Amino acid sequence: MLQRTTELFRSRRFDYIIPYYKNQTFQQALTAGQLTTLNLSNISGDVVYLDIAIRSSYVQDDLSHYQPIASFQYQNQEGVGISGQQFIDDQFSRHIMYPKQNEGTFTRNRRFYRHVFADSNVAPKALLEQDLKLGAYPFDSHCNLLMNNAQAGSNEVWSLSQSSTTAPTAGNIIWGWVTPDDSI
Amino acid sequence: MADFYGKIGLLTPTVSIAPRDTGPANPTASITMLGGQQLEVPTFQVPTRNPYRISNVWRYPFSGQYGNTLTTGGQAQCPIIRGSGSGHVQKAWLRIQVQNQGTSNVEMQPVPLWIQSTQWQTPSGATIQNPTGSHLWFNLVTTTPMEEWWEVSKAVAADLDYETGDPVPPNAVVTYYIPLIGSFLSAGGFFIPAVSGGMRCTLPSGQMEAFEAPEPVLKPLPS
Repeated sequence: MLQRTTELFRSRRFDYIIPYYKNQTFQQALTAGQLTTLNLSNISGDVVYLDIAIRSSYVQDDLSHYQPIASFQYQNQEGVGISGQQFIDDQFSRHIMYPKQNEGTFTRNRRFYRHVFADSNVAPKALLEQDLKLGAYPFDSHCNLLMNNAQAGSNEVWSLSQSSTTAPTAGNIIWGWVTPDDSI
Repeated sequence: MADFYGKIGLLTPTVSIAPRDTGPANPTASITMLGGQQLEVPTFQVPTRNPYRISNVWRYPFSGQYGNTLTTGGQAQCPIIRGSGSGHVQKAWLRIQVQNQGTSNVEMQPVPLWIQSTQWQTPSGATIQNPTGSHLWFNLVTTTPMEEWWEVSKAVAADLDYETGDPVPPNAVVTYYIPLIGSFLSAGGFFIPAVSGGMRCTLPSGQMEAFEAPEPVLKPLPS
């Protein structure tokens, strides 16, 4: 066993790398329910994972609260899906893939979409904590992110009917609500 | 698809398991006690790393005009002077101490989001990494298990739901620590003897406001 491991280390080149962060910011209006295509011209080189966070602004609560998208797909220059055959929807990304590949419960209530290109569930953590690249997709600045924007929300409507016999003739009505786990 | 060419190799099994590939069921190791006695002990009782290594914590001060950075933006620099410490670096944190000099409670966004960007530089000024505050935040929350986040969230002014943490009362001095997950210092650790460069930290400059309205009077303090 030890001999085989030693031979493996001698025969293979292991890459110890510094994770290098690239960031591409788009400032544009998104139309609810429509497809948005973004050219990731700033993203080139081996990419272990990519994150999507859509902020309404860069102030106060919007710094840590992000807007939803219905589904997304990464495509190469030829329009071939490189994140899979189909679009990855919000639920699958946040509640199935994220907990498999990351720690914590950040996406439980946050519209944060991470896609891991490496064929390893521990790839993000290995990259950030051990300088290990366990797989990556070679981006070439011509790849695209396609997003189906979330449908427009609708206001929740509650109606209140007053009793004709017991209703007060004056006063105030106050609505209160509780979101115990900060669901949004 | 060309993109999945590499996986074709998986269709042909190339791995076989032979008895010589597996270890003994109850592995033991022969050790010599300080008194010279020979013992056969289970291998899990034998340290696999040098037990005489120690760890210590070093702190390097920032410089720059950062007294009003939370409201007006600005930069701070921190030279990491190797030689004053010893050995390799395994983890790094960013320490920020603030005082609420206003008269009401201040509720802030998690501390990594106060930062617009950071930059690690070589001694000659070349960029090693330039994670934004969002990178620091995402790296932290995506690599921290919940049982650890229970504690760490307090250090970055967040709560268990990744919301804003405890309000800072008037006059209170609070110290925050941002674990620099994914920094080249934290990861690996073997680059360090060659590094004598520093870190530049850029705090919000107008377009980011990490506080809840109204604007607080929160002053970073010298380290």
